[in-house]
Amino acid sequence: MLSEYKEIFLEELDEQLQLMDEVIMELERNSGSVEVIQSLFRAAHTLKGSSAAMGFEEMKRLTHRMEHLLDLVRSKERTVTPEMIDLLFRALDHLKLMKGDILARDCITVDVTDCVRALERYESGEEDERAAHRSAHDAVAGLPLHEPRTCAAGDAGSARPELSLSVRLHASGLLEQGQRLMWVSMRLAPDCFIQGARAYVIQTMLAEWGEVLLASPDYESIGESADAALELTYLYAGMQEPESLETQAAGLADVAWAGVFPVLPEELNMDASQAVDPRRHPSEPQQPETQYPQRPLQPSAAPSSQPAAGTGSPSPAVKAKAQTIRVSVERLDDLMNLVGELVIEQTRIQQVARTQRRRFQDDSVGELGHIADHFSRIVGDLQESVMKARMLPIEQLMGRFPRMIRDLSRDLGKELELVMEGQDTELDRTLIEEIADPLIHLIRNAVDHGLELPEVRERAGKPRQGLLRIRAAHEDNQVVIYVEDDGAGIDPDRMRTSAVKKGIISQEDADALGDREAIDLIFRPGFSTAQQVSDVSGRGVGMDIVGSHIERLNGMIDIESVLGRGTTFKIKLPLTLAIIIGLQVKCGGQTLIIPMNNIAEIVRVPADEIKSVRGQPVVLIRDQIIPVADIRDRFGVPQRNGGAKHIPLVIIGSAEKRLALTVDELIGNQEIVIKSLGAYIGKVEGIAGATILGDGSVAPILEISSLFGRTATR
Amino acid sequence: MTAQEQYVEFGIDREQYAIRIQDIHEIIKMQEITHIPGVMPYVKGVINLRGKIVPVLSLRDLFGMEEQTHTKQTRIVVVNHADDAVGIVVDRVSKVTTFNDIQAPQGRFGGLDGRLFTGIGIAAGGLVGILQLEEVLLRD
Repeated sequence: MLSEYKEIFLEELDEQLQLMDEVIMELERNSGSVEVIQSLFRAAHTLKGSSAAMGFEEMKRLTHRMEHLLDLVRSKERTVTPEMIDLLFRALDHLKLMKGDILARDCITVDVTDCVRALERYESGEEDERAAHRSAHDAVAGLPLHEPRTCAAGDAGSARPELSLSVRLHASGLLEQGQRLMWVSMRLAPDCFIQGARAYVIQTMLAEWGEVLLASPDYESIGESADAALELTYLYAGMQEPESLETQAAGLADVAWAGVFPVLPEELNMDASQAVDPRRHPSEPQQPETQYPQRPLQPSAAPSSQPAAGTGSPSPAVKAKAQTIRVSVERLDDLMNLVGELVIEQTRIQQVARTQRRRFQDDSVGELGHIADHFSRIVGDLQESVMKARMLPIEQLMGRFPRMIRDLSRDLGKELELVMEGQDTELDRTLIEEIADPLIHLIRNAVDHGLELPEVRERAGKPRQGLLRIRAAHEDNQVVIYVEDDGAGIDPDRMRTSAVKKGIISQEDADALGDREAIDLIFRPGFSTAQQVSDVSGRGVGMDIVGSHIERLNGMIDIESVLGRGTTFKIKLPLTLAIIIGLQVKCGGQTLIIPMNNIAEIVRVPADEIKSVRGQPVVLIRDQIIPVADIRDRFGVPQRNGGAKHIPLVIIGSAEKRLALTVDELIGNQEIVIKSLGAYIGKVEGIAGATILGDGSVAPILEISSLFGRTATR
Repeated sequence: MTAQEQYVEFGIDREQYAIRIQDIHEIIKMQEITHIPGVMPYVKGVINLRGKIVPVLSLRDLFGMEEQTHTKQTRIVVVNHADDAVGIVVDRVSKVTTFNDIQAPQGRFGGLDGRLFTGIGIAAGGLVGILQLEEVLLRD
């Protein structure tokens, strides 16, 4: 339950950091706007309040500084300058680091002193007096400003580590059970040379005698060979008398000195949050500082962290969250599996109803048909709802781009305008996580290699500012993401030369490639078109990883590039990974399923249009040469004799690759649930799994990406 | 191995074999087996067992005997293997039985590797090979 507070806090932190990211960008573009300043101020203020409540003092310090600076801007005492923007970004980066710290070890080791001082210095340009007042205030609050902060508190006797809310709650619970709460401080002997291990042993001993609520520093963070004598401080709960505990502790090996001190009642109170003084900013919008549940164990705790809620409107984020509940992804997965079963059974009922109708003329048969229809509608809706429950707007991901692109273009000296569309497009949350890296790479690639430097653009008669457009949309049950730039485009000839030079393909092969295939060389391992390797786009390890990543997600990627005009990357992804639309085909008497989202198109060609080029059968479709493969060869299904005049070809794609599969018969497409073949069979080359068809029979699902693997090795 | 443990006795060709009853998930009638291209040769394919995909092996195949067309007596014995179920096609299932006398397998039993058996049950009708499932299922 305690960690729930932390989770809520982290969730809010995430939200506010994202918001800050966007707003600072906005501020940079549009420096004056009152609303922008206001929302940034509010974000800093919210974080200040909640970090204080959670006992994350460093974060409070920094957000407090940010808030103060923004307050000056808000009251028109200061104007926004590029320097200020940079400072704000710097502070934001520190906040992000802290978030990482909290996630990893529940305390903050990030040193914000420099950042806080930089903010202060900037402010004091005109605000000497107030800044001085502030630092004085901070010093009074027991926060040495110029000392590097670590998880450890300073002096054994004086400064204690901050207690986070969860520790305080826990401690109060133990007190109520009649346990004694004590600070146990120890100094290790200077000649102790394995301090980390010793600290571990000491903590373990203490944990045997009673309970250790907090250890500072944590033994994991202690280097084995620290120079100075190490001070250890523990918050300890147990039944012993302080004196006997002190003797016990002093008797431990390598302990030079031990002291036991009582825990003061106010240390357990929420005094950290009292530092958030609502009187300081009488003009700020009143909003609930936190939405953490009240602490039932501490009715005496001062509720001062909650400045009169209700006098102002809560921020939209707060309002939205009140209407959501948190559900573990695992539960949704279970639900999805069950729905999958339902989909299968529903298809079977449909089929039974159909055969019955053909065989009998009876009212009850008609009724069965109606029920089956109704049932399938309900199952369809149910499936959609469950799928939706797993979906998130892609904004979650795209929101990170503006900042990244800003930094990137600055580092590279590019000027560009970023346009993002379709942020509300929803897709499965697993997919959002998985697609992040490939997308980021494509964007970096576009900024680094695609868009030209401003001068080059001017010479080419283009506007100095390049255009980068990121667009997401739903297109027939798939998610399509475009990354477009109006840069130099990809030169197929240079691709060919470069690939030959790097030994990726032979000159002969290069000459045989069409322009499209030449551009697709970008996905080959070891390929990089940049003349100079920059640290932004890396060393040519990028694009092939993008390709394989998308392949793994059952997606496709296409490149459209016009020399001098720009490049468009088009990524197609399935909406979800569990239930897919599959094309049923027959091949040598066996039914096979080809995932629909791997199908680029289906054509019927006259048999004589399949030509052979150097032993490889190929077909020419709209100027693109596509290799042809016969599934029957691959799977040892007997060949059908007697050539049909027209052959159905299913053009499949995986990432950028295309392959035409010859099949005997196309049956149609339907929704299918991917089932694994189980641990006994394990992974089968070329098979992604199996599904159960409407008639109860099983059909294997082709794994498209491995079909390409085989072609390559042939 | 207690002598009174219960076994399901089944037949292939003219031989009798048995599997401990607690290893058996269920016994079903023969149904359509879907071949999966590219699986191990001794896996005949998969079946749909109430929405679950279950691999099916043929004992005839495993024992190096000719495959036979299925008869009305052909059954699939579904056994538990780790967390999965695996089906084994047999010519017929005879009965649930116990053995008063079980002897250790010799080097070979009816032309088969003795390691495939945990023991040989002595029954009125003759000798019954008690399958060592781990060994049978994990053949490569």
